[in-house]
Amino acid sequence: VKERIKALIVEDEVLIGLALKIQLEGEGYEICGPVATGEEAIRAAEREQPDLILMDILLAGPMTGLEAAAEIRTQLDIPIVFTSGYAEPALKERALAQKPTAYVSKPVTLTKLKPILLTIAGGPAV
Amino acid sequence: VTEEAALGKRAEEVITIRTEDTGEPGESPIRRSLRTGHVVHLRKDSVLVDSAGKEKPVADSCSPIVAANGSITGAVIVFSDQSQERAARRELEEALAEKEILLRELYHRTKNNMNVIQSMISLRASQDPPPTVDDLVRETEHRIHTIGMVHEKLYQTHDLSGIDLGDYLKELANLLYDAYDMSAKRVRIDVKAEPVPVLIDTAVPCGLLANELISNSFKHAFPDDSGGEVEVSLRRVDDSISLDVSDSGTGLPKETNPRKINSLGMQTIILLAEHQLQGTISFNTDRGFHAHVEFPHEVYSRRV
Repeated sequence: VKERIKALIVEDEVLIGLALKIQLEGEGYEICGPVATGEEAIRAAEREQPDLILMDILLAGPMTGLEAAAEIRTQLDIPIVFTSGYAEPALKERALAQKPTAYVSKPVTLTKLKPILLTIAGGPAV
Repeated sequence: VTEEAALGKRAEEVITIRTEDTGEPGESPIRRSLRTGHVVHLRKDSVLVDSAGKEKPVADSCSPIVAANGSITGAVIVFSDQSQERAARRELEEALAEKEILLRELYHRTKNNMNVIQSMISLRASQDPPPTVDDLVRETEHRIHTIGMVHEKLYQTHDLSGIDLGDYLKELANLLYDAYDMSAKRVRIDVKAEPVPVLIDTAVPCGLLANELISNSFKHAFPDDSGGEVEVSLRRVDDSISLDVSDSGTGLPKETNPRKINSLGMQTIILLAEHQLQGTISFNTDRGFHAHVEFPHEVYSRRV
């Protein structure tokens, strides 16, 4: 049994990512990131092999979160939770078409995340 | 069209009218007017094709000529050139579409910036030991002001990409200078900032980064009233933007690596510089404290 669940945060508003990191660390999760671009996300996923990825669907730089997630999925079998502050229905549809583990609208709060994380981890984080 | 070329022909062979989008001719207004005995107006997107095949946007009406006995003896068709009107309408439609996108993007960024402010408050409040209420209120006020000033600058530009970073940094530095009452501490501020137009997406994190660095100098570098100087400089270097904040203050204890300071402030500074702005940051603590940040001008692609 894995002792600590490791999550990668991909969020181009790094202060939002940092606040989330500190909250999740307080809940016992091990957090890598936040990273702000799709390219960084792919590298971090390969290097850190996290148990799950919280991925903002729009990112800084040329690659979107959706593209980064698709790329990561070709190499690694990691649950991905999409997060988004964009209320565009078309964008949400494109995200859901990738069949993510979950889709969470911003602001991403512990209340919204906890049930999802518990399902992914198969039990509470230690 | 000459008289000879027109005489004896059907009206449709002389006057070619189509719709602008599909190129369909539709029923000739002359024929329709003769058939119905009514005045007929053309569709709004009609074009008249001249003998060289060139299209001209037109409006027209066609009236039947009715003899005294009530029989229809012919029809009069009048065209007016609509080139300017139609071009103006197209321009208006395009401007409206652009404004709609702009508004949507602005909604998104306003919401986003609110989330950033909320995150900063939650980060600071989660610290151990917690900040004093005075500190928390003052820092929050400055951060909201830092972001608010970017939104204020949007008034002066027509899109989201024309915010003058240099101008903004000057205002920000002066605001912080007054807020920390640095003239009373005999500290001078010198801002040398070139005009650099950037997107709102770059202006906000850069403002927050500058706010952290300048506030740090004002808060920590001059513990007594012996005076000193804080310098801020912003330059455009090829495709990059270079930001320097330095002070002549007490600096860090010897052998301290600024990167290894595990404070929220330092984490914020490094994350903003290296991740959000996709740049590099280096520190020099030989005399006072100096931070040098360099980041690409086009971190974010222009969306509007």
